[in-house]
Amino acid sequence: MTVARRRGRGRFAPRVVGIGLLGVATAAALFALAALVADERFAGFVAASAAAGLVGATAFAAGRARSEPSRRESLLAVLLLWIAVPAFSAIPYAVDGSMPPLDALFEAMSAFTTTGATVLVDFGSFGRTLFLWRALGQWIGGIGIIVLFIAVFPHLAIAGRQLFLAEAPGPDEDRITPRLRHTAGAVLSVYVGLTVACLLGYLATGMSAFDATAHALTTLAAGGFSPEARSFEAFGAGPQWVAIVFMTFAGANFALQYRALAGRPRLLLGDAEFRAYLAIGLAASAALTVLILPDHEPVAALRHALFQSLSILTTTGYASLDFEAWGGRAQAVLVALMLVGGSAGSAAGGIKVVRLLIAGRNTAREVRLALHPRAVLPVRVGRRVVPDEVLRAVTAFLTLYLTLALVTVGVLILYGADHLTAVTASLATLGNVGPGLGAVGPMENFASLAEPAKAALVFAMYAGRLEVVTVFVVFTADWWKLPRARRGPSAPRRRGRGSAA
Amino acid sequence: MRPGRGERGRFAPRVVGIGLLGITALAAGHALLAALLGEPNRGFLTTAVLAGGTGALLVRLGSAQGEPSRRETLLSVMLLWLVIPIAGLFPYLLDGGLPWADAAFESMSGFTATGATMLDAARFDAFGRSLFLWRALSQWIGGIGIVVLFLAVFPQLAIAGRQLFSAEAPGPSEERLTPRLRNTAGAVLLVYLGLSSACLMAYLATGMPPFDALIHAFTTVAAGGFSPEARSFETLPAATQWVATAFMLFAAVNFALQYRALSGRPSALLRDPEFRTYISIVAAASAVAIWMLWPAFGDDAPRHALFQVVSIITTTGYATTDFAAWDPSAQVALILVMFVGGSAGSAAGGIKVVRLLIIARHTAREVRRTLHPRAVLPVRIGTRTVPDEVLRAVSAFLTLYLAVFATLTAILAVSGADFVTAFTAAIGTLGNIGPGLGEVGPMGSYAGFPDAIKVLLTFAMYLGRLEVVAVFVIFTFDWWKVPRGWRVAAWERLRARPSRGRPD
Repeated sequence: MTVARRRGRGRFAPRVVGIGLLGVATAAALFALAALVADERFAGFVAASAAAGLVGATAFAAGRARSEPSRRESLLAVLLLWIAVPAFSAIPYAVDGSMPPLDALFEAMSAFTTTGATVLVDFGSFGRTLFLWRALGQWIGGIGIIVLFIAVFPHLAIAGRQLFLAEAPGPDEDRITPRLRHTAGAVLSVYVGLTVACLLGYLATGMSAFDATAHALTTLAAGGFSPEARSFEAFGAGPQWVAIVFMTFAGANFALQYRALAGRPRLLLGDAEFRAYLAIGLAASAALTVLILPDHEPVAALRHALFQSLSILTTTGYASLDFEAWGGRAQAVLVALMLVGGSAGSAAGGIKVVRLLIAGRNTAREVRLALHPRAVLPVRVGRRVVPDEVLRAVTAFLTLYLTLALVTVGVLILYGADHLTAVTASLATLGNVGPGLGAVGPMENFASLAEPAKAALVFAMYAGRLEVVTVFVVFTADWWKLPRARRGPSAPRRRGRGSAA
Repeated sequence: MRPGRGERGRFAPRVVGIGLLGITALAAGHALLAALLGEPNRGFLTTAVLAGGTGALLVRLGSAQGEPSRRETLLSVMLLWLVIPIAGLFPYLLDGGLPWADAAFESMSGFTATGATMLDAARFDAFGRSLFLWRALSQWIGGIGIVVLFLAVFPQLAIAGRQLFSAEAPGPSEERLTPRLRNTAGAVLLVYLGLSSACLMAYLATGMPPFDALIHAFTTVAAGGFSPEARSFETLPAATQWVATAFMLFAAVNFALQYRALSGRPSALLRDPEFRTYISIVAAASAVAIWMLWPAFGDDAPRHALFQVVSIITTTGYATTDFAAWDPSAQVALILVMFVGGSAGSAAGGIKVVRLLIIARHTAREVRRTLHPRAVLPVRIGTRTVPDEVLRAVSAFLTLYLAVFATLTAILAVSGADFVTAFTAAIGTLGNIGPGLGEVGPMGSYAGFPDAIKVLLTFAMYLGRLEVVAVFVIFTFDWWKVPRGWRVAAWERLRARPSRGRPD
């Protein structure tokens, strides 16, 4: 280990955040221009651009790129990025959209985490540029999280992620591409390709260019923001069918989709998670169709059932009608779906299908062990044996996830929410779904909640997006034990010790 | 193994038979009592006759020779908790006038020490004293039954992490309670009897009539929660409520540790991590509840808050006020402790404090591992390191428990119950608590559900009492692969004899 390399320590995170903020500054500058042309308010975009540019440039200059950042640095970079970007992209909502600061932060966090929960009461107060800003925030947040989880987190082995890295059933040669950059590139191309296809689909079914763009951006990100207060209820059956198709893609593993497109569809179709994902989606749709059949035409019932189950399962959060008006039975199906979430390697949030698969198999094994305690029974997903550390990580993830959900419910009820609102708001934000039921239903918004409750939900969206475990690292004592090299003066003393790190 | 082979498959009938003979004696006593009080006793007589006949038959069929296999032990436990509640439902059916599903529910609620009831105000009036005594005694017996079962039988089976709780003592074997199963059971029984009589005395001292005191003492120490009063503890004086709070608190503490503490080593209890966590949770939840109840109850808030938190966390289920009518912010503390439950080694149900403690430490370790993936970090409870298989078992238990809870909630919601009723009825029965919120609140009853749902909730109580994993074993393939020795014994003996020389 050379001195030069060691001196780069602790400067990776500023660099990453700096790049992110410079991106925000560029986008905001373009939006300011667009707003100027469209004769809408643009002061907020200018302010966001200036502030993000200034802080971003400073951080960029202070930081330093490293080919092999330490775990702590990678984690720190991710944790800071998902705070800094929403914080600065909130400025346009506050200034141009006249939102209170906390509401603006809520909206920005909801966008960048692809949640889709909104505090927007009067949709008329937002200009087209602001709606597009919101949609773009989700699109960027969506691809950001996929690249992050496919390319960065597998190395970090968080919450069982090490398993999802090589979903392919063989050794290295079966991986998409050995190099990080290529993996990210492959996924990005699928993401962009699907977005364009979705855009064309919306245009072909009669959406205006603006609506089609705004919705295509939030469909593939599994985000769910819509410039329409009534979401997809404002559009006809055509766009809804298109949305059903592309939401399904949005909730599936993008790396596997790339492989399927590259001529190996069997890898996708034979994937245990993909099959379970489709099975859950279809089963829920079938149940919903039966439950809402009395109120709709058969084909419309099927459409709404498919639309709503996929919208919630993929954690998108669009609504093709006010499912608040459905009976408690149909809503029970939707709440159950909120707990599932999409596939790993997609922009969807939630617990993720593969984790539930693993937890289910693990539990079945323990039940069998109750009878034969000394039996050796490997846990398999597909053809792969799940290593013990993945099992441990997944169960710990589940515990932490459910605990945080429960605590959030408690906070919401303490600040005056009713039970149904509290439970669904908590699950919908932690799972990055968007709308819940009760006071936060699909045609309602989160604006009526008390300020502390909103703050708790902002944290829930953040924690949910970063898979909970990542965020809680900050609360361990180890995190705060700074590594020696960062203290400066002591660095030369370590020279002779080789690669102790 | 050879000599014992013929005895295989005969352990379960023996155990169930003995259980049924016990119920026969109890029912016969109640029939006599009912006759003396001039109350109907057809149901008690039916139970006595049916249980007596079946029990005698099973005892003769069965045999307690040799070491039972895991399958046999599991089977006897599962059958015991199924057959006895069925045998015990006739008094409710014939003497209390409850329909089938309701009687089965009430009986299961009794023997699982749950305390969820099918009795609405009108049915409370129709029940005689002998029936109330039967209801209370079923909880008391179910309570001691489960403690002995878990302390003495399940540790050997190593189910859901129970192997850890068997030797809570911080040292090697000499520190264990007693090496032999019988002695352990005896010590625990002693504590149970002692607590029951102390509780009875205390109730009497605070002015309760003898009959009520007896019934409440039975259901307090069993963490059961049945009361002959439709309004539970609401109409009773404050002093009685404080007595109940104290004894409920002890009813959910590990009886083996209490025995050690009483035999001159209080530090064994005071240093126990589960006991400390249990007390901290009670204190924290009560503090939140007091804070939230202050506007409505003023100076009475501490009493109601403490009583209710203790009643729910110990899975007893008594009520001093209709907490279903509380402000939702005050209910938060109660909902959270519904998912905690009492200590292992007590009659309380629920997830159990020690499991939550283990899972919390395990999760904390995984979070630390995120930063240092190759660090070796043992999970410790007190001074003991929790073995990996216990961690796995506890996580699997929790997953299964929550999955069953979620499934129950979904079924209840789909069947038409409102959201709050659905999820509190699910945890109220699965956690063996008793009342929930909404329609199944402490002053309400479970009588409003359709019959199919009543049967489902009866099963939920059964599942919760046997710690879920034990019951799900029957859904595995392995369970149904009947081992050789289980085939008809005589045929088996004939067939096996010639091949005796063959090596195993």
